[in-house]
Amino acid sequence: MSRVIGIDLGTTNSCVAVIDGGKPVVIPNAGGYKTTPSMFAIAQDGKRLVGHLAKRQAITNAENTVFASKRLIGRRFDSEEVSRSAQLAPFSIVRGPNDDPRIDIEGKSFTCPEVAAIILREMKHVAEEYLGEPVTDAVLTVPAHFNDTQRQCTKDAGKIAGLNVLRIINEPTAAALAYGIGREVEEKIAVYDLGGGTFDISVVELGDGVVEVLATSGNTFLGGEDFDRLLVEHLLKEFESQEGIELGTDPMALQRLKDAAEKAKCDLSAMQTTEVNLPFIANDANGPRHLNLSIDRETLEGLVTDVLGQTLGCVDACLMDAGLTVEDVDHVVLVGGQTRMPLVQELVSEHFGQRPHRGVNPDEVVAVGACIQGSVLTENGGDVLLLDVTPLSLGIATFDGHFATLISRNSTVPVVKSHIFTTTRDQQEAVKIRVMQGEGEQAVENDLLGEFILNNIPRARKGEPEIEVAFDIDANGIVSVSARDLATQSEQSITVSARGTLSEEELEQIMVEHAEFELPKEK
Amino acid sequence: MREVEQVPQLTAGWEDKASALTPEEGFLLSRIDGRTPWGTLRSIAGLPEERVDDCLEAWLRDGLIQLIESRKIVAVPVGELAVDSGLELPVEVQQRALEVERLLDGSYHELLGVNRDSDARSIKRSYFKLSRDFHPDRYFGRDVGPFGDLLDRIFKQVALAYELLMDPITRTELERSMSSAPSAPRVQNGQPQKFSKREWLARMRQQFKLPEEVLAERRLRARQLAESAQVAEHQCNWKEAGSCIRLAIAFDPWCDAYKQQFAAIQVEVNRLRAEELLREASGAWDSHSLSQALKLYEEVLHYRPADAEATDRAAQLCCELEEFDRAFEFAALACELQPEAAAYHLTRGRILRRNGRRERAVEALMTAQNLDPQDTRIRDELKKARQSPTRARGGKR
Repeated sequence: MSRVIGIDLGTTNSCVAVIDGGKPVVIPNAGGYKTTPSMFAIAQDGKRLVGHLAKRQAITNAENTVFASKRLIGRRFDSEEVSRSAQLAPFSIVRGPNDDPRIDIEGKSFTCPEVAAIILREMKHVAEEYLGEPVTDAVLTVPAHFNDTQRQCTKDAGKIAGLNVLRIINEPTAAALAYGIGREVEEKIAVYDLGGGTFDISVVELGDGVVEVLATSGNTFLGGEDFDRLLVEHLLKEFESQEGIELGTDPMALQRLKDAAEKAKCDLSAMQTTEVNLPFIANDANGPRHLNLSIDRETLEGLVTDVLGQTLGCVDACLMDAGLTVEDVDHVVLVGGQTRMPLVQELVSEHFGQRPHRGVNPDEVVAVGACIQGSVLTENGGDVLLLDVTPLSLGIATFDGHFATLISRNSTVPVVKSHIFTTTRDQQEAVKIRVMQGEGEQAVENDLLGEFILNNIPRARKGEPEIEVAFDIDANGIVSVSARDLATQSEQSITVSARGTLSEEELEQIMVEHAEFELPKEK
Repeated sequence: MREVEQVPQLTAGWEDKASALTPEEGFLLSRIDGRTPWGTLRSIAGLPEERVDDCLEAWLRDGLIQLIESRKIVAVPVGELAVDSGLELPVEVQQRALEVERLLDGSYHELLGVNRDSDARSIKRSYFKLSRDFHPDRYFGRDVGPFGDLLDRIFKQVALAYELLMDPITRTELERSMSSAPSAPRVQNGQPQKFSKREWLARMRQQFKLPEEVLAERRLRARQLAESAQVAEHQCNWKEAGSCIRLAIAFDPWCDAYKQQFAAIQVEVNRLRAEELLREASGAWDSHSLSQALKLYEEVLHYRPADAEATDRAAQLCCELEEFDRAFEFAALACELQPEAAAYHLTRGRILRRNGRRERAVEALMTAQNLDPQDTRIRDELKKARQSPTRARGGKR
């Protein structure tokens, strides 16, 4: 039986792990690094570059290098998050036929699942090189707060990359699984996951070989990239005040700035001050200009305090959902590269009243958890069971535009819940069931997953018919909804096939196109 | 007396012989599916057993049905699973699952194996243990056959029980409702004891549920019959159409379209019958067999209760036969149905005159004259009425 790999598909970096010799192993790529930048480029000569190769040439080829595409996946082109990304991205983001954002490089338009697939395929290659055998089964991770569309897009990406995605699990859950394996104690932990693009907080209970997620919360558009963006904006402002030149319109200058900002941010985790030197960043009538600025830790911390404040708000909300207080938490586990920042560690320590646990590698732990879940599913391996929750509430839109929750967020899956609804007009013969996901009180604030009509309700005065609506989420996260008129027992149901942003045909076509990038079979 | 195990089956071409069935017979016929034994038909037809026997015997004689060897119907197991060592699920787990299944309808405490004194910690322990045994992930990608559904149901119910018992508010409520009916679990020795009406109904339905293939066959037959009915309709063979669609309804009583089709055919059949009767009635009148004609008009009125002309005719006939009370009733009805028709008021007036009610006769005839001042018959009748003597009320009948 072929082995199952776990892939942490990150906003900035991705990581792959596998169980080897009974122990989870993080697989280094060809360059010897255990994480691979989630970047993709088309070089001047038309060659496709992924990972470090793409990152290295990003400055000279900024318009054709894609990064942080995870922030776009599964979103609508008109959403605020997409326009915020578009402002700073040197590559061009265009509207796709399904109102999805697509990335235009070298005259070819790429969908977000496609870009993700290119990175996933790279991770698959890394694993295949290491194991010396083909790999098809994988467990992928997503931020806990990803909605159904974003999850489905990630699944589609796996499919395009030639992977059989056994399961999509939540990143903090994976981290908890990796942390909890082999620990015999009963404890409650909080996983604080601040990655490149997203923030998640989960409260997890461990014991008796069970990892039970109590609650999860987060923000899918808050992460290290925002720190970089704030720093870039700061540098642009400084440069403009010194030299009077606006750099924001020059893609190459922006890419250089972004790179430098990321590096400076990392440096400042270890040092108090650092220099940003970017010679020949601009030209004007007076000749070439150089950017030469020094930044200290306090400046950076001042820039990001607001953003970090938001994460602590999420932490409190999550603890409340779990019915716990900070005192009930036995350990805090930090996940994601951004948690290396001293300010993050300080704020978290202060908030929980304890130093965070230092036993796990924040960059690798998610991939490790994913591969553990893979082996749990396939080999009954490791005497551990993960009880995960659904991160967003599910319900239906009521006639007055409100949202009626049936399965509230943080319910353990699989789960089934039902509720009786009725008609709102006399002689009403049909009702439309609109299945929605989200936390808004108004239906319009939430995502529409699907809709269907229950017919043949016997004519009666309003309020008399009894219509039972049942929501069911299975272990794979697939939602099915049924509505039944209790008088006639007539029943309608749908499986809410989580819709990605790609149609079946598009997916097929892209899979064919991408098949040529498969490694040639050896032997 | 027939053997109750014998199974009647419809013969080929039975449709040609089945045209003159009553609705009850149609229903009985529709239950003959080549699977249901004679004895069962007796008890499900809703008719006296002798009646069922008579019908079946008659149909057997007419070649509508034949008797075949009883076929064993493979029972579709409903909620009955058995341990199957061929599955990729340990036999012990299967047995445990079947044991827990019986607890699904019982109390949450029993399902989790805890009692009122159990603390949160032991409830959680128990939940974790059950999860480790029955969570679908434990058997991911393995062939667990029909147990897949059961495991899923068990886990969902266990998770619900855990959720309710871990919440102090719902737990208190649950335990209060338990103490009002002191430890009355609905499952004792594996026997269900107490169900709400809805649960009970659901079980009963499940029990009497026909195998889907039988239902499909019935629906198919009903559709064929409805099609024959349509063909007959096109040929204006209404009687045939009517009996076909009546059978279709017996085969598939759930389809409203057939009932509508039946109603439409019925309207047409009634119209034709009424017309036929009218023709016969006027023929009878012409040949002076008045009481025969009256009878026919009465039958017409059965089909067309709002036919003013036929009502008027009936009134005139009653009058000729000197049945004045009925005559007056018919006449009054005709006037009510079409108050603007002078002729009907004339009839009423004439009846009143002949019954010796002068004043009211004059009144009715005045109405008629107002409506149609030119009519000489009305003028003559009015003259006669004014000259007629007033007889004692309720005179000759």
